[in-house]
Amino acid sequence: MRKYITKRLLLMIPVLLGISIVIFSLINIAPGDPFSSMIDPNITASDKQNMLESIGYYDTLPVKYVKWLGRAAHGDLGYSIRYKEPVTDVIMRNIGNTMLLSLSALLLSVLIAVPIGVISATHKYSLFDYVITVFSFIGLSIPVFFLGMLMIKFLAFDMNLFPISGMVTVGADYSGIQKFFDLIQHMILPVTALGMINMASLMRYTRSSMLEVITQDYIRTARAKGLKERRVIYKHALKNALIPVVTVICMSMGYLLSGALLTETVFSWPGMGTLIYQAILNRDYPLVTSSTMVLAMFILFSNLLADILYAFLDPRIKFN
Amino acid sequence: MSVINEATDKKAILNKKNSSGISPWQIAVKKLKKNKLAMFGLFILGVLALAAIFAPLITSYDRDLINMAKIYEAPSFNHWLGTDELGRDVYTRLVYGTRISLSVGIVSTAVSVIIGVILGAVGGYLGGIVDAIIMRIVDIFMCFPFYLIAIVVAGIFGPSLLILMAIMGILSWPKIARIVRAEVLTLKHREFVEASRALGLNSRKIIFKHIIPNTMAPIIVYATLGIAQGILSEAGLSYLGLGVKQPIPSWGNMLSAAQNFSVLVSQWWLWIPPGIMVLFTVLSINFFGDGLRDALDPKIIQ
Repeated sequence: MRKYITKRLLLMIPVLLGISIVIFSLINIAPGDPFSSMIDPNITASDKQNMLESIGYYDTLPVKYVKWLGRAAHGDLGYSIRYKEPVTDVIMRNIGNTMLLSLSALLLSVLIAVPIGVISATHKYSLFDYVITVFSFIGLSIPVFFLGMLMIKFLAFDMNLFPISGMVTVGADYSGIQKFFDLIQHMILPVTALGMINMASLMRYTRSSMLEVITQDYIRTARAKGLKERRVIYKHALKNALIPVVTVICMSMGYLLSGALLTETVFSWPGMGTLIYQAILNRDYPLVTSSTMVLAMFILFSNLLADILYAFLDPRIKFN
Repeated sequence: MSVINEATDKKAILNKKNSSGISPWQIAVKKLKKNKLAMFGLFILGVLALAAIFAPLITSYDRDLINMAKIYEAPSFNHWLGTDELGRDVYTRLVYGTRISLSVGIVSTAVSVIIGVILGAVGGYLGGIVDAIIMRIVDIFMCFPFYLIAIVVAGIFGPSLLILMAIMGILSWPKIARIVRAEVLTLKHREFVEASRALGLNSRKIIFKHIIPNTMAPIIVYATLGIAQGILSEAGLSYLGLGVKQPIPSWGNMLSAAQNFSVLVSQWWLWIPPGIMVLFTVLSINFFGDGLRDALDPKIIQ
């Protein structure tokens, strides 16, 4: 087990380097000089050239990359052109909000999808199963931002049930418990939109995994020795059916982070998605490079966690 | 020698087909026909394809005709789905958008299938260092957050149809590469592959003539579902203004009208119809793809 984890961790090094090379070169072949808006227009061309030279603007791409990598290794992710402060600070301010959004959506989808998937499997081909199957297909097929837009129009604007966007009520200076409830109110729509999309696939996974398990011999044995159906399903079957589901849950973390990007844009949620989108529109390339890297790393780690958990939970997997 | 063998082989297969009555493909088609949801999906897709092909015949306005005297008109008898911010007929643009959205989905999937099948088959068949390198590349591409990279690339090169299709294709091949590789790993020790090797065929011929045709079933299923994913991604990117560029209509860039808050809350006819089109198309493809998977999987007995 320890050997397996070590091997997987070591394998992450070339993968991370690969990701960084791709992202870095993509952004550096982009046309235009992103610093032009930063520089005082009154200075002479030669001064400007000197300044650009001093920050390594004219270095070749590999040199730039190595320099960037060296600084990144020390935690220096560059300087945001738009926010005029270190990229690390900007990311720190936003990443928590994205985490809050995607973790809540993950929690919501797990809490709803797993029980429904189990019931759907144990009542195969019933009306409930049929309705749920169609519902989950719709969930898989609706664009998350369209769902969000429908929610904003009908639930937030027409019926006035929820706040339309953002994370806090603008102008209201809440504190303590009031602030908390204000946040919850703002969270309901984006978390539901993002959670629904994830719920659909999770439900289908739980259902098919459960269906596979309940045809196994040991389930028949459990029934044969006279256990109650409830005990057979929830103790013997569910335990085994959840193994692949756990992997899917971890893998969906990456998917959620990506999906959060569009959800955030629709609901003006101040997270990494909105940040990167704005950064691209504003050509704030240092910010784009680093935040993309940070998000990619999160996704990589959650996928790794999925693999390790899977191997840990299922002793049938051999570590080699 | 090998030509003769191939000929007799083919004959033998044909005879076998005739003697046993139906081939595996025919079984699959039979199974698929019984699946109501899948047939429903196929029917809707057929209608959409016809609408896309015959778009000029079923619309009565010019796609890009601007009429500033009639902006933001609500749906009426003359304009079934109203008009947009430039007075263009929404229904007409929606029908033409079908062309763009479907072709973006199909072309980008074709790109990813071609890259994925070739790399997956080559890696799986050759093994060793080639396989290791390909699989690392797969790992790298797998953890790219799709929207993020797509947005970065589209933001840098500017919105364009070709770039959009290329990005989507290039970012989504790793999945199919993994599927094909896994298939090839089990196929490569089968007798027919060993036989072709014994006959002196080179790796290229074995991979393309003998192995890939045997991995067709999962590739077809993946490709079908991939088109659905492609349409969703197009919608997302175009919504952000980084996909298909105006005045060419696509469902995604029609949806982006709702980036404007007053359109979102009061001009529903501008964004709800394209959203519903995306939903129904992707839903139909998913129904059909799911039916295909069931039909092509020999493990599922009905």
